[in-house]
Amino acid sequence: MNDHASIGELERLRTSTPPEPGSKERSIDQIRSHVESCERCRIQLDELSKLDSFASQVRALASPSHPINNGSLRITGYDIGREIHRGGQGIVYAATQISTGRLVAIKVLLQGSLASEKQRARFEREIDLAARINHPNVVSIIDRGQTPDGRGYLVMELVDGPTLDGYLNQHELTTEQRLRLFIEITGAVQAAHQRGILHRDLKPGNIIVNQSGHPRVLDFGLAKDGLEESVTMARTIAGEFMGTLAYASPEQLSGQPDAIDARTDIYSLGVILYEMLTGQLPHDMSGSIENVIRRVREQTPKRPSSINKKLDPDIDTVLLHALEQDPARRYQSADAFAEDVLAVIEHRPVHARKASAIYQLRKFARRHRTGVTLSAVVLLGMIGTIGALSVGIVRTNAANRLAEQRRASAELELEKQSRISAFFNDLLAQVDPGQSGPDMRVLELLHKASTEINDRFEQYPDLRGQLQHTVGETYTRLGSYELAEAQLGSAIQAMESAQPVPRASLSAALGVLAQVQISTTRLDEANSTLTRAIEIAGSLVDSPEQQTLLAGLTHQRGALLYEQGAYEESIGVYEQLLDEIANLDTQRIQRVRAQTLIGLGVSLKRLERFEEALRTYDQALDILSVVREENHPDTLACLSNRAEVLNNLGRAEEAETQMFDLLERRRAVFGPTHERVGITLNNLADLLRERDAFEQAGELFDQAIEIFRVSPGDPSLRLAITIHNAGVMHFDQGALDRASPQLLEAWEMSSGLLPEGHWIAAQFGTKYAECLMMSDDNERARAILEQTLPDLSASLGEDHRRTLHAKDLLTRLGHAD
Amino acid sequence: MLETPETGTLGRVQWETTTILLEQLSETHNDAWHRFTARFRSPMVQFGRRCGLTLEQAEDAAQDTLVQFIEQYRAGQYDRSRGRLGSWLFALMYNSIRSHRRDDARLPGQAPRRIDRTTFFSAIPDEAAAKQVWEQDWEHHAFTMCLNQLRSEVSPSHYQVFELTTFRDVPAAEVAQQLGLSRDAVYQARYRILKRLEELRSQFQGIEELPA
Repeated sequence: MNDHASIGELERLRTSTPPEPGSKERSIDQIRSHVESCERCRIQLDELSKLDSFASQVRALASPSHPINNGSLRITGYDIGREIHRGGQGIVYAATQISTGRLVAIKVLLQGSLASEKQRARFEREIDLAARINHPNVVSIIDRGQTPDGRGYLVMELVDGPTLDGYLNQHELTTEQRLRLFIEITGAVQAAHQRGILHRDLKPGNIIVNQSGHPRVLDFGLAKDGLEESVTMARTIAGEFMGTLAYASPEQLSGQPDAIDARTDIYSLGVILYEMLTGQLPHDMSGSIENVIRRVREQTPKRPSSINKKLDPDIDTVLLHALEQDPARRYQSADAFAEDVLAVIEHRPVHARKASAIYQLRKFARRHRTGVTLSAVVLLGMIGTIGALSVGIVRTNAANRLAEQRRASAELELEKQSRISAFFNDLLAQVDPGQSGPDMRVLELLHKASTEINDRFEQYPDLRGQLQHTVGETYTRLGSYELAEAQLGSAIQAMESAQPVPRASLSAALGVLAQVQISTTRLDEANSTLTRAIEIAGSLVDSPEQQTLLAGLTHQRGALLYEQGAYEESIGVYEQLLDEIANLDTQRIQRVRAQTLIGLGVSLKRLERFEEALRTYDQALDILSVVREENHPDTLACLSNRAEVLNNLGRAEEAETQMFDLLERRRAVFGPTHERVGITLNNLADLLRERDAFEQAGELFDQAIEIFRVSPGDPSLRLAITIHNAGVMHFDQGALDRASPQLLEAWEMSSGLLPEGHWIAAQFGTKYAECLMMSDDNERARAILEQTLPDLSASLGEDHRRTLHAKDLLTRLGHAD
Repeated sequence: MLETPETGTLGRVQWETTTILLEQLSETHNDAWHRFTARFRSPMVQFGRRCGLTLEQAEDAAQDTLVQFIEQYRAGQYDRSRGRLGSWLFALMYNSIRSHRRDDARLPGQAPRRIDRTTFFSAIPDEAAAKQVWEQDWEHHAFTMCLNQLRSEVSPSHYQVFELTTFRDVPAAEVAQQLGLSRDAVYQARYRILKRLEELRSQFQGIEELPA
């Protein structure tokens, strides 16, 4: 065969297409036989194959799902027109319903989006439900079906107008107009939720604003479940789904389909409103998808009013409440969200408001920056607790499912809220600098609060209990343990008398009381209190909050064991807790995780497992850098411990630099006389002592001792330790006259504070005995050593260097005899 | 999105390879500048909008990019190792978008300008993600331009052959029957059109073909 194969023949060969019947075309075999012997035809055949690949590329680029409707898409009863939108789910066409002449929109889903029977059935069920939503702000679904080629479609009313973001760009709306527009959107969402339909993909692109300026929400019941899928897709098609992810809730991003409920839509609504008011999304969506997800799940958005200065600060409260990472802490319904937005417009108190007191307390803290000698951080901690109280109020609302009940409850809660607000207004008015002078301290504020709570909240034991708990907790943070205990005792009593007993709050208050007891070295009492707190927390319904509470209390159990000298046991508790919370990822749990790591590091250090301790602190700092501010007490505590471990590891210079830096930061944050400053002074002095900088060390010890002597909760173990350290320094310098009284005081003080046989007291006694030996008072020294050696052996072991040192001293005394 | 070609509605479009355009640009050829911007501006504006710029900002960013490109090109700064024309323009455009977004963030004492998102990004994506989207858009744009050109060059019935066989996967025999052509003629037409399209696409990329 000499004739080269034509393009047609080569195509037939390539596609195994036989000759047309009755034609004179060559058979496939004939063509193949020629091509096998003809190089030119083989080359051409290759070219055709390549062109075919190119054609596939063209096809893929032109349409993943047949965008061209030149008659190819036919749906009975409708005359299909132009394509009006293309999205991740499918293509929307304008169409005319032939029977009525009505203009409609037909959304044809992507090929394969309903791959299985189950998916198809679910789609149909959801669409049927969605079709029943009859609300002026919801785009109605008119019909649904399946195209001849098996794609699902639904017919909706055609709404003429831009999407929400486009509309806002085109119109200069005031904040109030924006808020009112948003309330209409929440109405649509609420209507769907009442019928059990979630949206799951709320975003500006799914909201169309019609010619009259009213929003219409699209696509209820259409979103796929399993946002993991979207996340996976987002990873695959970088960027493409970012727009959608920006509105996805943390639980969606975590790929927890079981956690998705109406509150997921509330979160998306929060993002939409945030963007409507600030022009920004709550979270930075740049960077890798993993980073974006991490930010959404871990970071608290910036206050909207810090972006748009014209916004009412109440908007911050409302929005940040809607955007809580934990669904249980968000608005529990779209209605509740809308109610608060309306309250902002009408200048009424909002339910989610962390009491107007919060705002005023912040102002107070700023006004008294120089006068507030006790840290603003502590103050903010107090505010946080009050905030949680307000959130609790909102949560109570959530329990009431029926609208009437909710309204009645809302009124009651609003009344309580107003009382809290008024209480703090009055309180802060009393401490105005004009009246109290510039040296007004947070402590004085607390004293005023604590004297008034009983009277003003007499008929609300639950509120009274929680406020006293707040005040008590704040006293605890300030180290005013006696006052703290009084408030906490009243709080617990009030809570126990409330109906129903607020068990979670009661457990938390007991936890704080245990903290006070630990801090004042009443370890047995602390043990009972903590056991009770843990029992109550363990009996609560499993929820993220319950988990956080229980984790916090378990962390305290570890701390208590540490104080009891049971270091191995405390490490066991901490490690088990870290395992148990490994899969939990709220911000609050992250804080507990960081605290637990710090506790673990302290116990490891005690056992002189310094390398491990250092790694543990570093892990804690990684977490703290995300969940806490730079100068948060936990962060500073961790840095302090880390510096100590560095010193233990022989990295003294590094440790010294870090401690000086820490000292400055703690002075700035807590004020110069706070006990935390005292701790740093002691640690730094001890380090300088080891480096023979005695003079400087002596000054710092003196400052620390002065702080601890006057700090609330005195006498404290901290004081004993600092006095002991100062005594050791004087001993090392040979100034026995100064060392002896200090070492004695430290030993006596620690023996009174610590459980019998505790190694710290034994160690202090041993050092004092050594000092007596230097002064040739061998008899007293021997008596002491005979008492302390068994304690050291029992606590630290026979081979521990401290035990060996005590033995050595006794041996020397034997020789001396 | 690729525009849907409509058979025979456009006259023949003047076509020149990007290489020629670039050569003319290097000679400070004003018409060339207009033609060049007409060809490449649209995907840049679209990309700017996808990255959250307002229309006005996106247009500015595209203009900045084109000017910068021309300056660099005329200064002989084009480095072939930096890849295709599209990649080069992307790098310039991405920087320009970033700079616009930075300016936005610096607006003093007022709420930042609303992000005018069209589809994708609320915030500027990282470079790798942005590049992926840019490349998709760029390909779409290239094909749209090429298809428009192709449509103006071939007969309506041949274009229809191409459309039916390529976009709708209609078998050649059926197309032949629909259009009253022989099956062989359908194969021939499809072959020629695809070859031409491939050629146009390659010419559109242009700079790849510049001599080293």
